[in-house]
Amino acid sequence: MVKTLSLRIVQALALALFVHTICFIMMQMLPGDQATQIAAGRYGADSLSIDIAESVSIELGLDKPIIEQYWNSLYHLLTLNLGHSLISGEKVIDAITVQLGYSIYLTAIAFCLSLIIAFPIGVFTGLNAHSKADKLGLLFSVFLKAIPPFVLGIILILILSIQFTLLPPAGYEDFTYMILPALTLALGLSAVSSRVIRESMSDVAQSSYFKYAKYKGLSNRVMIKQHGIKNTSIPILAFLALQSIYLIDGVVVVEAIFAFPGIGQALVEAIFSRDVPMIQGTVLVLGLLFVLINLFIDIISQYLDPRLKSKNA
Amino acid sequence: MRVNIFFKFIFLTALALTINAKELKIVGAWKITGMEPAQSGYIFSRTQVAETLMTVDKTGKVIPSLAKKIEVSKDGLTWDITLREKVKFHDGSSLNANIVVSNLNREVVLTKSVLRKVPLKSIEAIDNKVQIKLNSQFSPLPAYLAHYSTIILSKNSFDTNGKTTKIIGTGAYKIKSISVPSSVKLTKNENWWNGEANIKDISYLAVPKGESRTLMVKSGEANIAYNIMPISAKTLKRNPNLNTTVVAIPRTSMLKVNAASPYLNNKNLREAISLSINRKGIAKALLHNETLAATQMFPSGVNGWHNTSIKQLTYDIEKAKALLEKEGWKVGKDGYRYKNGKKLEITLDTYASRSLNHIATAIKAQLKKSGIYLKVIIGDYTEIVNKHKDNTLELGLISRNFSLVPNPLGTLLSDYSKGGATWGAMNWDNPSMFKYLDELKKGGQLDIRDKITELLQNELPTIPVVYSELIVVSNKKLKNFYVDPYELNYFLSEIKW
Repeated sequence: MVKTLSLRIVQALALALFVHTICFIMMQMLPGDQATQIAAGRYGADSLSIDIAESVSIELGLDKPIIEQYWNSLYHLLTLNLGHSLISGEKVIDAITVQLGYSIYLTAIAFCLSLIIAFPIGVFTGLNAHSKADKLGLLFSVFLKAIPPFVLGIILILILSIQFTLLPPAGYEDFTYMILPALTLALGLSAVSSRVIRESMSDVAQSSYFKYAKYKGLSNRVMIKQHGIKNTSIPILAFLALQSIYLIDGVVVVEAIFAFPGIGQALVEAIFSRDVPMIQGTVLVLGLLFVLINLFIDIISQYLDPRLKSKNA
Repeated sequence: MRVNIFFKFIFLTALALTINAKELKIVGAWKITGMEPAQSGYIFSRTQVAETLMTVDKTGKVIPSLAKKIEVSKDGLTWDITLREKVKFHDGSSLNANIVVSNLNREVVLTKSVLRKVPLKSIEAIDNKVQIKLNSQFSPLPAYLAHYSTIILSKNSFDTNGKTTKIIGTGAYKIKSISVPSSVKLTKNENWWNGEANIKDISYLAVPKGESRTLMVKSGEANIAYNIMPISAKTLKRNPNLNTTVVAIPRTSMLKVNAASPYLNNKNLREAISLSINRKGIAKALLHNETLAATQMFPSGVNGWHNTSIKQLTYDIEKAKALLEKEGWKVGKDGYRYKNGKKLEITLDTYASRSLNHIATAIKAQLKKSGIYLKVIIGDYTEIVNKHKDNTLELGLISRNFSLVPNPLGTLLSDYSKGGATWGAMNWDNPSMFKYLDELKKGGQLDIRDKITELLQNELPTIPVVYSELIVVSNKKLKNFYVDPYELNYFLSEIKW
């Protein structure tokens, strides 16, 4: 456990430095003048002019040498100061805390929802591999994965908000506003998860210990509960950790469609307006979150499969 | 019987209270990018949270708002503003000249708001009047004081460094909660100096995607949706629960010409480009409204500036060809024109906003008929600023709002004075224009406006293509709903359920 923890801490530190530097370099490499982009983000197209852009450049020290700007930003990182947004002037950490809170809430619901959809389908099709139900499951999976999230989102709004007026189509006021974006994310996620669960379940079903349990006369329910789920879970958990990438990627699109006040939308806007501290802060927090998820998965996997503990010891 | 009447009374009162308590939900495309008035003042000004010294009435006339009276000295250099009495901010503090002066003298206002364009000498409080002294005469000053970046806020809105941290205005609505950058919740100000708003609670949500705004108003999730796309408006018009209001706004999409570029320094070539553009076709096919085809710089709604006596812009491909022939441009084997072995090739920069990217491709196809090759580059609007700055822009397709300062003279002074400007002329130095603008700035005769519009029409330093419209969809249950073409005010206080 200590080894796993220390490995992840080193990983997190390296990631912080890497992400910070890469973001800085990439922002400098983008075409166009940074001060003009920031002025545009702040004051909009109609009020944008050369004099405004120049005053923004002086105000933010963008006229200083790039190396000096980089060292300044690195110093802020080392002192755990993510700085202020160049557009709104808000503290980056405050903005991220609020926006990330919404996004974590959304992705957690989407994640659970995807498991609720994927697990029964995956277990059933895994136990009945190559049956008609299995082929139908594959079709469902391919169909959902083939639809881009923005199309799926609009289809869901048209059905559930416009046609049946069951759910609000966009915005955020209470939990009901979370259902449609979460469902959009969950359906895309479950399309692949269900197939991974199916593969894993099929392998377990073919295994000698599962067959032995069957010969012992255990019922299907007991077999799946005692031997199936636990053994199937380990590869699935590893896969789900990777899926968190998909969620981060997916929230960008889904939050834009549903006008959801999360971190995905904020990141896209920050990139367009060259809000470097906001981009660095957001990417850093997302990266660290990814490390944290993997750490969490490592711990659960070790709990489920004690052999991993001895391997890592 | 009496019991029956009593219950009826209770029921109707409850019903009335329920209706009044219902929150009015507005969705728009604009985000709250920050608390500084120069950044997001338009949201607070439109939603009647904060007010300016001057404003615009429904006919487009600049009238006093927080100011009661505005007087100018004979030499035009001193403006005395008498403030309205008994005006209170939402925090209970009173409006006075000192507060106004400290608002307008903040560095961010002087350097980032429209006031930076005014030849200001000083802004002082004298005998509870605001006195503005100028270095030179500047007649459109009242219109500048109607701009959202000059909203007047309570002293408790600023931190010790003068940075805006809260929006505490004097308007019909006060802020209940705000979530930058997406939403703001308002409740009515019971002590508004100008009466009482009808609806108690209002929310504004920024929804950048047009499709999402359409779906929200269609589902009833939003009661008013601003900036609906023309394609969506077609279907929404058929919805029996919704009203679709289409208003022409003082915004023109036009070609910004670098008058110093090798080809475009020639007036005949600029005219040939103008004659080759089938504006009606573009307006009909891309904007779904043929009447948006521009005939001159200012649309008909811009009083005093739309000039009916000048020759209107037309589509005449044969005349365009004749002009090009006259300038020595001959048609080559590929259908494009050549002179001294050089192809008539012009680069057009534009960006994906207000259908400009689609309009650019349409213009490319139309100019081809005259033999002009247009290379279209679709990028970001900041590229126009940068290319203007380093003088690499040849032709740009831009959209210009003439109502930001609700007197088009403000925009013209900025865009067509010596040196031009990002959203106006480029290397077009016309002494007559400078003289006319200067005369108007000093308060000259209003007929000078006709000379200016005529000059713009003849010289074409920018080539108007199409006008703009604002499409707003609202719930049919709303009464007294008005769409302001100047986009300064949503007139929310007048709306009733």
